[in-house]
Amino acid sequence: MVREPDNIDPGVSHLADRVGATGALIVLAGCALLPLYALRANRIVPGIAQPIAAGGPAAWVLVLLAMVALAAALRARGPSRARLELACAAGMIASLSWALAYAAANITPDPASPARVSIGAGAWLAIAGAAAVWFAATRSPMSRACRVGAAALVAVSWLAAGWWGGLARLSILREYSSQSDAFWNEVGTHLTLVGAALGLAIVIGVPLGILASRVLRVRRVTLSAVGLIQTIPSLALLGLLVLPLAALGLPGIGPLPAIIALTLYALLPIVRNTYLGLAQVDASAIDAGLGMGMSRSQVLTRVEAPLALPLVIEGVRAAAVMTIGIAAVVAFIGVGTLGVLIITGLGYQADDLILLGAVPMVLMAVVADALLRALGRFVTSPGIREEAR
Amino acid sequence: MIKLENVTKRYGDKLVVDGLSLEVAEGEVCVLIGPSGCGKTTTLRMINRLVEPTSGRITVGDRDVRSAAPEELRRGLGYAIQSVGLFPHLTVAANIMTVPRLLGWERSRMRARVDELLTLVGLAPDAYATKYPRHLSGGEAQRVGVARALAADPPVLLMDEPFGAVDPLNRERLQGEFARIQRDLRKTVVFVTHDVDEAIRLADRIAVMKDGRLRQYDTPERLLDHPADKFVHDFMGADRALKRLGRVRVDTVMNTAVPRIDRSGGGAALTSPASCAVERFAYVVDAAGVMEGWSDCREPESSESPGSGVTLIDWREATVRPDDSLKEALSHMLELGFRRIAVTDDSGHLLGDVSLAEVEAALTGGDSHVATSPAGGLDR
Amino acid sequence: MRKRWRSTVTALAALALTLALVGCAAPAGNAGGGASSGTRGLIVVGSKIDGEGSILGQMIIAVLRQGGFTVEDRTRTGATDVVRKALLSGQIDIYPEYTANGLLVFNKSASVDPAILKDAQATYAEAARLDLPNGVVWLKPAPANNTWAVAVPRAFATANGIVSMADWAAYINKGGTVKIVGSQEFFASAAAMPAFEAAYGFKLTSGQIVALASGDTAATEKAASQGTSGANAAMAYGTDGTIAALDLVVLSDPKGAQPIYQPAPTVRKAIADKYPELATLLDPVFEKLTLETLQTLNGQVAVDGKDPKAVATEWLTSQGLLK
Repeated sequence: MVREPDNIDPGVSHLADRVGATGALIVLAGCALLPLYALRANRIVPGIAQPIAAGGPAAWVLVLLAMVALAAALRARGPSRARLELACAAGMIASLSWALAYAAANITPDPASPARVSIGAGAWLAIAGAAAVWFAATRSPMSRACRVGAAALVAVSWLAAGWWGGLARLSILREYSSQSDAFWNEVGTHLTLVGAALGLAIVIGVPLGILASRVLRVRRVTLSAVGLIQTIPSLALLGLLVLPLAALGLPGIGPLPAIIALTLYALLPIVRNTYLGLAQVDASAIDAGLGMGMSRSQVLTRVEAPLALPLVIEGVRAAAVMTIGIAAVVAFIGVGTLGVLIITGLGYQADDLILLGAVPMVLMAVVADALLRALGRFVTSPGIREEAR
Repeated sequence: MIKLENVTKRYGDKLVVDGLSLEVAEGEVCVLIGPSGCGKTTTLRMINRLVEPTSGRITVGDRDVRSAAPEELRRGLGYAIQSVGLFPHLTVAANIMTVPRLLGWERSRMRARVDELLTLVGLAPDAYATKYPRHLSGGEAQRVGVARALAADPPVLLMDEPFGAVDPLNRERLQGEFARIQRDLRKTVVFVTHDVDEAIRLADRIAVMKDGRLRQYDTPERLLDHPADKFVHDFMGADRALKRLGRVRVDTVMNTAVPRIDRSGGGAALTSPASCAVERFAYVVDAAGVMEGWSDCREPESSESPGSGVTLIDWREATVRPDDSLKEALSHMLELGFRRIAVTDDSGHLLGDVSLAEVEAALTGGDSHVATSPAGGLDR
Repeated sequence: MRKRWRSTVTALAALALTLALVGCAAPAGNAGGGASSGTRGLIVVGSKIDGEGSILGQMIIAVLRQGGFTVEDRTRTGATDVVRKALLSGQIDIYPEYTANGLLVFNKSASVDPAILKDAQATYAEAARLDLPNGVVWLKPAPANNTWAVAVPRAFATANGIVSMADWAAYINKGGTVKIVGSQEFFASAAAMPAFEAAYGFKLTSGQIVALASGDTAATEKAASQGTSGANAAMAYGTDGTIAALDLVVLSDPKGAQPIYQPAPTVRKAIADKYPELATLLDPVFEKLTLETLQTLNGQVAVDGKDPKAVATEWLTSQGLLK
């Protein structure tokens, strides 16, 4: 019997999908071994585990889908396997959301009581397992409609769970409802800071990258400098900025050092990718362009820029995801952002408040990543696009 | 049209081009050839100012190349390079229209020009205009490169080993195409190559360079017959006689009065009874004149079928075309074991034949068989 | 294709520039909350990042808005040093601070007469006097004393008959097992644990101490309540709302070893001079904030998870201070 090589396209592999099977097993383990929901008497005491049946029919649907996903991963082949796994993954996340909503609504029906139901360890495992199955499914070539459909299913199920009211009873969302104004304020600050830092990093970084690709000395200095900045821990950088700002008579806390620090961190991916993007442009295309009568700036805008742009957008994408995370740190210097919720949650030892700060950041990063990927595809000419997956 | 006067290029201590003077007349193909490092590419790139000369003067059409901005100069000169340098993010049509866009042509004019050029270089416009460079083979890419160089209809073409990166079969084809295009368009071309056969096939005049200096600048025939020094002699190669044959077109030496038998009439009609009787040989053609084979002229006996004594061949395999060189004809003859070979047009119609006698005459008769136009080239 | 690409790039570049400019301008203006319009003038209210700071900050905001001021909410500004810097640099105009901090943290160079620290009124007067040259005005403090304390699990207290710091000191000196969780500052600052040790005659060894980097009493109290790492005592603050919920008891301090930390509004001198009516608006509020009141309010936020703004406004309304 001929042994199949390991790097074959998983979508058409004749072997079982190990990643998908593992994900499904993780979901089952989470459901069976750990509690999906925990009941807390108030915000700060630890939670008491609740049985899985408290989640109602949705909880059993979750288990069922996990088993279907396991069977699909082991038995099914070809593109239908990928579609089935994706459907199961979306379904698992949706049914888990409903189970949590149901449990929260049933176990703590009184909105005035401080008792609350929070997401248990088993539920986190189930989410991780479902994500693994989703990833395994999307490795294979799949139509855009399938992926968007799956994401839409999850979004719709969340909205429905929220509308029906059950989901709002869940502890993390109770934290949200008790301080929704502050929450949206912090989200606004967070996004504004990230946007400003990215904007500045692009306005400074892209020209620097262009310069680096032209002048050797600039390249060495610039790339080392932005690389060095990356190694400085964010809190330390904020601390380091105090002295030079004070020397200039500027405050060491507040929005100014925050934007400076975030911009500095965002520079590396953007500068480096701009430089790399330009460096990988075929030299003969540039020679041909010059030889045909383009000026140096026309070569830059008509030849080099379109060829380098996909990589530049890649750099912006990496910078965006990174900046969304680092922006939380500036809460320490009095600027706001979702980091405030995290710090406050740490102060109260209220886990769900910490989650309320952390989870939206993850979601923002995921959305930013997807949007910028789409932008990258949009600006990439079909002539240089890699073969679609 | 193009004049280089005492042009020198120095990089530090290194003298790359040393006091080069030459002149290319309008409509002429000048090939710069020489060993690596002889300065031929640098010379070419000085004409469109991609490299600035250290001293000396270059004029194109009586204007010093320094009198205008380099961009403006280059838009009036077609430029094609070995690695082609197509823009990967643009379609073939957009690539071709690079210079017209720089010059501000309107859309409709550009679109028409794309179709015209693609047809000229032998690529179907409908199929190729919207393709991207990564889907093109080497030969196709180079054709697009030539089309791009010709897009704005410049009077001058600068080409730096344009066929060097292509496999031998395609290179052969591309050279033929180039010759055909040049026959139609009559551009002034400066062409760099290191392939002597290519130079001989395509050039009106060849400039042989070594170490930055011009060794000889002459027609291919005179270079082959009268090399200026040992270097040129050795450089042109040992098989000079065969190379000379490569400069002679079949249709300039072929016999047109050849005996032919028209088979459609039952096989008996002789159009040149005299030669058939003497040589017992005639070509067999069909009603349209397409060659089918030859006959040993036996009188058809009543009992014998008309086909006896006739050797049938496929004209595509066993004939040459009128614009082929005598060198190719000789090669075919040797390959097929004939002493003569028929000349047919592209549809197989018999036009004449050549024999070893014509080959010999070309070799020994010297210039008398060569077309005597001043530009003395093969593919004119 | 070419047109599409070119317009895309132009749009992107414009977007980047806009983000950069707007984002730079915006945080200076509105990070941290919207302002509501009033007739009297703009005041920016900050606070420390803990629950009590948020509640006090929201009280100040509500009362000032009722008084006709345009108030910008920048509560939860940061830790003590950050919010103090914000006040001194003018990024905020007012925030609630503790009286003893005015002597022990901010104006440390002046040597402090220990007798002052034992008297609430004297502490406040001295802090106000020392801070005036710094451009900071202290308004009337609340009676609540949010000073350092030690809290132990109720079961432990009952089992060992421990009610006051003196009992605890005796228990330690007898060789009882003790593990107390607190912040670095708590164990190092001369005014904190060392003051207890000096007053009650005991000494903690390093094995009996678990020092955390931050001063979150919620973390320390949770640890003592659950016995994490063997903890059976925790650093606490007098007004903590979590003590009862975690089934802890605070040990009394009969000898008064600790300085007195009363919350009071601190205002930038320029604003205080411009709006003398601030005192009229805020004094009645702070007068009513007793220890028990603050403990209840803190409990509603920390334990029940209510919004500090809601807690503040409910209480003010119930006291007739807010219409």
